[in-house]
Amino acid sequence: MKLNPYRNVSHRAFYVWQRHRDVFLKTIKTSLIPPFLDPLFYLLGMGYGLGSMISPIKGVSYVEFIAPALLASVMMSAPFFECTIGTFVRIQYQKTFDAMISTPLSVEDVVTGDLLYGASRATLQGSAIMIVLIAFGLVKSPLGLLILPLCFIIGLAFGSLALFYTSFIPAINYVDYFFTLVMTPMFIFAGTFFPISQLPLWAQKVAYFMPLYHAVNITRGLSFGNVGGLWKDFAWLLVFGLFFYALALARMRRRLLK
Amino acid sequence: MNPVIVATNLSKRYGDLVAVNNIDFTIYEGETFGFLGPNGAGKTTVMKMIYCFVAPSAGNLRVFGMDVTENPRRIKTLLGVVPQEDSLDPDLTVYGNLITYSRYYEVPGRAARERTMSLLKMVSLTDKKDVVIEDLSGGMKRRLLIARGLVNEPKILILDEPTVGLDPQARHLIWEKLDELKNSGITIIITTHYMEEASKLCDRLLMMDNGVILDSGSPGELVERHIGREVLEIGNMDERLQDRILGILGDKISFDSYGNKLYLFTNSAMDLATRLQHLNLGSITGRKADLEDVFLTLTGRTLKE
Repeated sequence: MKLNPYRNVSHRAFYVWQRHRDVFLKTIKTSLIPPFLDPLFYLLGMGYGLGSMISPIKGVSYVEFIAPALLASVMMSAPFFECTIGTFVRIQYQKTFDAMISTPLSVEDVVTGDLLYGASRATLQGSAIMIVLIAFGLVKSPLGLLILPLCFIIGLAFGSLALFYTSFIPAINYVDYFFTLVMTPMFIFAGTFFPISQLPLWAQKVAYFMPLYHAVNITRGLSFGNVGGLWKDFAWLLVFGLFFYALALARMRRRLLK
Repeated sequence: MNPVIVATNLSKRYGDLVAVNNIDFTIYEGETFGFLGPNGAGKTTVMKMIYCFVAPSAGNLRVFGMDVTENPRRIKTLLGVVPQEDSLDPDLTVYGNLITYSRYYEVPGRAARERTMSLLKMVSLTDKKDVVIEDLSGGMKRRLLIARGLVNEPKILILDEPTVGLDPQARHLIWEKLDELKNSGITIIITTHYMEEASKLCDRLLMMDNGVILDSGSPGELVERHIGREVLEIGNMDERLQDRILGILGDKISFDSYGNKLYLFTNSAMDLATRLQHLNLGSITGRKADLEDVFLTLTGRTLKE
């Protein structure tokens, strides 16, 4: 039992989530606008602007092609920010983490609270994009609404990877490497702005191991109503998430309890 | 009296560094117990082991009969912890800090709100309720940390250097609050290197240095045992004069010397002064012995770094 990394996770993680929610609600007026503007700019600039010069991909216009990918990319970026910068600041600079684990919360509860919050941010930002996409008529199937609950689950998978990275880094500037070497390549190459079939074969194989590739498959499939085979992408993300969640929990315990 | 914390052969090593070296102690219900020692003595490490933040390397540590390595969550439910550094949540207000911590202890909503208000009143921060942490003074932060340590109505309150870095006014206010708490019957454990604080607040204390226990007992006992009742301080000392004085007073006198001062430990400073009157010493002062004398005698007068 001692080897089970999930053993110290309890319902108390929810209290940590509540703490993050309270902090978020204090600044809600200022933090609600950007999630709407970001996708709008991408749609207008890349979708309609750049897209006007690009011929349809498998019968789908370019803006329709990238719209679901924008949704998938916030499932990645929102938890990435929360579970790297947000978590690291609390561990290293604010000492709040230490204070929290001298209450009945375990290290695992606190880490899990961060993860739940990262996934909530993914859902919130995903909802903002969904509203924009629906307004532009870019969600073709009612199945597209399933993307919202999936934002949360897939957000957990991305957040787990981010927490695992955070558990190693000695200083905040190491977060840059994560964004440059993990987030940006996925954002560009994981079938977001062009199908991975455009990549050389070896790169296609690499792309298969990118969680964003699977997330994009899911959002694109659901918004067009093609659900065949999506369970495989979902299962892939689930295994990926549980694996890195376990590693992150074990690493954080070692890092914080000396 | 019921023992609430029992340590046996307790040790903590970090690689080659031995922070706590095979110590034993027992703390009883309702007492105020102090850990005294210079910086790096191992006091904070002992505290951290009690509140399950640091795992012992060897030996046994039980809080309310529960082993710290086996029952951290249940132990932490019964403790209130006031750490040395400011670990208040900077993203929340004064009120928000206490409410949020009440949640961590699963204090039900209404009880949490009522208790938060009464704790704020107790630490005189009611009118700072909606202020963000950044805008509090050092003394206010420390008082809020104490209030935060009490949101779960703990059986034991652990304070690590509760007044370090505070001005005398703020320090006295904290002492006053701790005194009130003490009267409420809660067990209090404090670490400090302020002797005044230790003798004012502690029923019993334990002096530590380099990870080992030097002695323990009530402040009065310790002074009596190591120093006696009074101290005669003689300045402008050199080796010849010191030998002469010690020659006059005989072997049985206990003393300590540091810099150009000689400290003579006695039950009557007046008697000693009379016996030395014929030397016409210029700088000579008699005073009551205190914990500081015990501390400096046991831990040495050289700078600890």
